[in-house]
Amino acid sequence: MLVFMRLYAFYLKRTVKDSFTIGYSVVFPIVMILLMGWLRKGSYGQELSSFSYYTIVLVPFCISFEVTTAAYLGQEEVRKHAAERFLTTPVSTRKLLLAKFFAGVSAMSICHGFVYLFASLVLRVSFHGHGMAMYLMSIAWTGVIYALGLWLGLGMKNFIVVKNLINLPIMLFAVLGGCFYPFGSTDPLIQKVIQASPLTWINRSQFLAMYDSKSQLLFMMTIIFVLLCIGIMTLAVIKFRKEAFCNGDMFSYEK
Amino acid sequence: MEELLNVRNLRKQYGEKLVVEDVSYVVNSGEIVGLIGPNGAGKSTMIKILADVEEKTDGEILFHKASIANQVKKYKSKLGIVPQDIAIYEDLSAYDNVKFFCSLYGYKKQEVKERAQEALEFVGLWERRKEMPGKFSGGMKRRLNIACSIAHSPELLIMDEPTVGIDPQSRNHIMESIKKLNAKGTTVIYVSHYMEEIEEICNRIIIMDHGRILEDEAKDKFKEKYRAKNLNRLEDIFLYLTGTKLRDEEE
Amino acid sequence: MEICLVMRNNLKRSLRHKIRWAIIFFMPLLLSPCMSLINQIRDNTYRVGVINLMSPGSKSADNRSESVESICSILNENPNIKAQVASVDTYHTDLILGTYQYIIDASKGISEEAVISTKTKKDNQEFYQLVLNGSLKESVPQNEREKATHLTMMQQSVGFLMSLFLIMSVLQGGMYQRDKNQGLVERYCYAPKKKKTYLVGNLCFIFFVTLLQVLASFLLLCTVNGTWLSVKASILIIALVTVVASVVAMILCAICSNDTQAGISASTIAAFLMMISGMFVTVDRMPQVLQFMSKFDPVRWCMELVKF
Repeated sequence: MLVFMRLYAFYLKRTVKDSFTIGYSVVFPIVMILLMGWLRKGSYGQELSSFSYYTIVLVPFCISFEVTTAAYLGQEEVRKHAAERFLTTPVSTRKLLLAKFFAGVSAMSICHGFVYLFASLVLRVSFHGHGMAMYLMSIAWTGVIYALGLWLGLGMKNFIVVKNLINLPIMLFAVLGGCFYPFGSTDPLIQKVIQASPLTWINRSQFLAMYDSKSQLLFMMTIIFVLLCIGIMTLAVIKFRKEAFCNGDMFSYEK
Repeated sequence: MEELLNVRNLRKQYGEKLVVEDVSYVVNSGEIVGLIGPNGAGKSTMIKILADVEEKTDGEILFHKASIANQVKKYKSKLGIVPQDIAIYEDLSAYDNVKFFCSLYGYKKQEVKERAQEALEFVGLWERRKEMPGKFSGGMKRRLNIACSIAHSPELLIMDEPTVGIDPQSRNHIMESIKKLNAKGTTVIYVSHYMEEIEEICNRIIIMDHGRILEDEAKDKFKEKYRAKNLNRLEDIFLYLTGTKLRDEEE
Repeated sequence: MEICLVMRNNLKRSLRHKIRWAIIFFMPLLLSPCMSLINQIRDNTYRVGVINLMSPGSKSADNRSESVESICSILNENPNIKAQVASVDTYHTDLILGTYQYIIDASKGISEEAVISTKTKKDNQEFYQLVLNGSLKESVPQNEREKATHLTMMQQSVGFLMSLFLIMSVLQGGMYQRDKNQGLVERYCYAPKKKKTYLVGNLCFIFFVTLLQVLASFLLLCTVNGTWLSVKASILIIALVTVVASVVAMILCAICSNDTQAGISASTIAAFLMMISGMFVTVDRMPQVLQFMSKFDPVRWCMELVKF
């Protein structure tokens, strides 16, 4: 346990100070919310300000974008040429990965909490009493993304190819989920396509809780994400490849 | 022996820090000059200045008695550098690597192929020419690193620790190759921390420390000079001149 | 000549990894028509939900009462309206997320007070007037963005193409960064060659590959949209997208320390340029500062060139 806590503290310190974390988890969402909120001012009527809309939809979108950051944080030892040193210690890969996971999720959640706080205090965004529930869901979603990132970064042979392309489906999901503008349809087929995006469900659960007083979906999503986290992390531990951990920054590193 | 390279009062300063201070020496054609010094002595900086990769603060470098500032292209076409870090394309075959770097010197296609073949045969990698460097051992990568630097038949070859981290067989092969190159007329400046290598192949030794040259002498005269002080090994002479203190303490 | 050498070398290296190259090359070709299709899917009708807030059973999910269904059928007579029974439990969310643009409260009949939406009162009044007057029978651009911006689908698609390639070109430029980090650029400079020729060689490589991709994507876009532009406009658009994407990619790769940083910077720049281009909000509705910045937006230039 002591070793795990030491690793956790070590990774937490590094992640919080990492410029990607600050950039993608704090600066990018705030800038996007301000810009989109400003551009679309008045588009959502009197009850819902554009800043409110974009705070709610853009934070999960920015969390989704962090999958590459998560993979890179997972591969940090590769870039610092320190990976083999970790592998020669008696620390199990499970402890190593879990320490990275919890440290990463903690750091990013602190950053997202800061964004929510900024929106609440500066932009006067109201969460209608569901702020904590939404924050917990965002933590769970961060967990899923971070677990996915770790699995991609350390469990995949060709992450160096995948990382370049992973943002594209995220952008598609974001468009379908209404992260840039409300994207809806009454057509059943198109609705099915829209529902394929996880961001659709996240955004819907948040608005249902805030404006229709229906929190069940929000809590269900949180539980589903927690379960997904556990599943993906288990996969990440099982599929951990030492070669990716030591040489993941090279093409054809498998001899 | 004809003068090939003449370094005069070379100086390099980074802000307040003087890294190379009034360094002067001459390298004659056909010599193998060993350049040794502790870490942080200024050897790598000096090599970068010789390679025209970094600007000098002051001083002059003459190649065939003419300043290199007036003949950069001609100078560089006759210079070969074997960098300390292996700098080869992992996603090109050994043959393609050598051909690419050789082609930068303006040779025609057929000549590039011939030179690349010669270089690879010289370092003993011709049989593995179609393979990717990713599959090579450390020694083979070092040899490929050398092949990329000699394909254009340089007059002056500067080798920056070319045998780091490789087995004795590969090291021996590289040593023999250097002697053969020298026999063909290539002048070599050999930088290394391995004293036995310096003793084996060099005919002149330059010792550098704190950006200055402490000694610049022919190998035989070198040992003669310090025999009186009961210093028979090059390493003992080196430690006598540079001290035994760890460098980080002084910094 | 060294520029050609570097360019050929890079092509050879990238073609080594055939699968990776194929994925990176064909990805934009798959994505660009997708965006067109998404735009086409968003139909040009008013999506209206009908609920009854006052009926005794109004809290249940299934809200079918006589007045609700009759109002639905009245509205559906109009070819530009798609009305259906909405859920009382989730109508606020449906409005916000765009499932419905307007909700009609059947308990108030078809009246101005019955119209609920997230838009302004003026928009509600306008919609009510159009429903009453029946002038919706004429085909008008119903999609709010289209109505406001008068952007055609082709313009939106071309704008998206520009943004996509601002991101994709950086992938090709990652080679330069890896070479820089592995000391290969320095090695190149040992020969009597200047560093800038290596940069230019890489730029030419990015330009060449991007040009092929843009050409193929543009042809696919035109086919999917069913709109063929003039030769002049097509050449200008292809040239603009290729040049801007290549130059931005090379600049980012030269100044960023690794390809992730370059990729993230490219995504951020592309997102910002998309936002101020007029794709989401008309330029004249933007704040003055952004209107000024929009003049220098290559995404906007691309969209303007469609009208050429």
